Amino acid sequence: MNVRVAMRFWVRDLWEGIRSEPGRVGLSFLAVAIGFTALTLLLAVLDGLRARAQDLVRDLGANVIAVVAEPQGRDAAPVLSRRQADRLAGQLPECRCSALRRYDVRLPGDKRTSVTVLATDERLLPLRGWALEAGRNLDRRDVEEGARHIVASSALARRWGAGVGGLVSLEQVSFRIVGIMSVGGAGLEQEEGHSRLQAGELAVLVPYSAPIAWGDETPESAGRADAVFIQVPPGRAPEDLLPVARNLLEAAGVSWITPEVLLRGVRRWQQAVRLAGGSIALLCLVLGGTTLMSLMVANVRDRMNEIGLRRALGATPADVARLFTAEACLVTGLAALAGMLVAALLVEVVRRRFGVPLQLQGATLGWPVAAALVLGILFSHWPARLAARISPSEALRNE
Amino acid sequence: MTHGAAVLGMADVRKSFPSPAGRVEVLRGVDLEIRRGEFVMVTGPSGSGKTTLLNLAALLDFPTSGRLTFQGRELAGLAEDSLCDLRKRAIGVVFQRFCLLPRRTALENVLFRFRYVGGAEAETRRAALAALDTVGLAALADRPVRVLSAGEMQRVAIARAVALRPELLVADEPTGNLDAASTAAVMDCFRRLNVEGLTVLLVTHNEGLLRYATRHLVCVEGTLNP
Repeated sequence: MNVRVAMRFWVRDLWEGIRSEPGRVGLSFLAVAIGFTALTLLLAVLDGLRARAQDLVRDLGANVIAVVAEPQGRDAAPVLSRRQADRLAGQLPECRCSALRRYDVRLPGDKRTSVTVLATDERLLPLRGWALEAGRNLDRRDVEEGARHIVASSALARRWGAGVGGLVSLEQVSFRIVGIMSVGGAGLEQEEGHSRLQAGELAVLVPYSAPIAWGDETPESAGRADAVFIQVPPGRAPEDLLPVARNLLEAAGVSWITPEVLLRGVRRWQQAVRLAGGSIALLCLVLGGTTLMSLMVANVRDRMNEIGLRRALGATPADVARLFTAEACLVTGLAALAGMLVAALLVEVVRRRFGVPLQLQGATLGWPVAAALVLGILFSHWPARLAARISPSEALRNE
Repeated sequence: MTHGAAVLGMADVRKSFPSPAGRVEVLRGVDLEIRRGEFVMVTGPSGSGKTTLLNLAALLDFPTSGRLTFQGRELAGLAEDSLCDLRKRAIGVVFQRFCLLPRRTALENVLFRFRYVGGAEAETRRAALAALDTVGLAALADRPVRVLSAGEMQRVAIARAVALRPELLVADEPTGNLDAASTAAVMDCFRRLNVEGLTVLLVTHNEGLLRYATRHLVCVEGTLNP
């Protein structure tokens, strides 16, 4: 058959099929669209969790172990020290190690905003995978000489209105900006229980040996580190090195954080959402499909004349079955589109108003479309078969 | 008037249907041969088996027993697809209540004849318009059928049935719902088509139409008598 003519016939048939019983079609559409909204929301939650997992791994570093000291009193002996980190670096020459001490200081002229000061060495920035946007990183000489040099986050540099080479003041001590970096942390920042790993938007790196005016050091706590990072060489999993590092560091009262530890929580959520949300979405889709099926059976009974006419004009049983299947697929396809649209709006609203990390990726939207086709074919199978099995003379008897 | 080769043949055709009281035999050994160019009219009381006979003639049903042939070809054991092919091109059917698609125009209804046949768009359109012209409705081609009169609707149905130039035109009470003027217009269409060579088998209650036929058969209690 001429393709153009065939297409025209199909479009007309489907359009009239849908228009023949607008109430029934509307009800089926609504029932299926609710199912697809639920399915798309589930996918958005799973996409959000997947993105979150990627953020976490990217922020920490895919091959990084973080050793974080538990909070302790200011006079207590340090559970984690820079000396331990240096010793670890000597014993694990294939790894890159860096320690940091974290301070929160007030931004000059703004009592409500604090800046995260990370007292560290030149190895932290590349180890954490933070990008240098301008200037340079701290270097060995800065650290050895205790230079008043800082690498500022781009947000902070903007706030100060200063660039590379500019002089800025932190707690009345002047520092020169030698570099501007972009700090990661969208993932870790939101991770409860790992706040010591956070850098925040407004952060600076200073050499740990630089004179500071904001510390609360006592002789007992001098040399304390809040966290030590160990970067495992490519090709080795952080989890493999973990027992060795534990033995070497001999530190108590610390948390050992690896990408695997970070992902464990996200994976638990993924599993829970997949099970609970998946069941709800499946139930909604099955309910929608069942509604579609029952209404299609009623449609078949009401369209006996049309079926008889088609058979009298030479339609085969397969032609009749195809017509009803195509109508069902059209309804489920349109319902899927509507469901996706509603879900996308909800995702946007929830993300903007409540900050929930929902996300809908383009490729993910292929699933509802595929599910629409499967649903249409599956739930129209029986009505379509019913229509195909009606003999033409029986169908026309109603005429 | 001389007629050509046999188009439809029935030999000792029987048809029965199941019912709560057991099988009901509707046709009881029907013998019939319709030759090309004939205009056969079947009359008979309600329940005599006229419509069942017509369904068999239109290849919409199979006999329970007996021999049914179309253009000399035995139909028993014919695959469903082959039967559908015959229905597509060789048979035209006209129904008592027209069986039109109400949302479509007259032309679109006639074009529906090509739904399972296809063909080039211009060609099918030309054939559909020619069929409408044959029944005198070319001027109403673009009018939705729901606004046409009953007689005009039936003529659209006739145009649809003959748009593919079938071998046999089968009509079940085509004037059953029409007034006298519309009946005359519709019957004139049938006669004109028959004169042009189309074979017609028509079932009716209306014995006043017998003058249009070249042969008259009476169906009584499942048998066909001259």
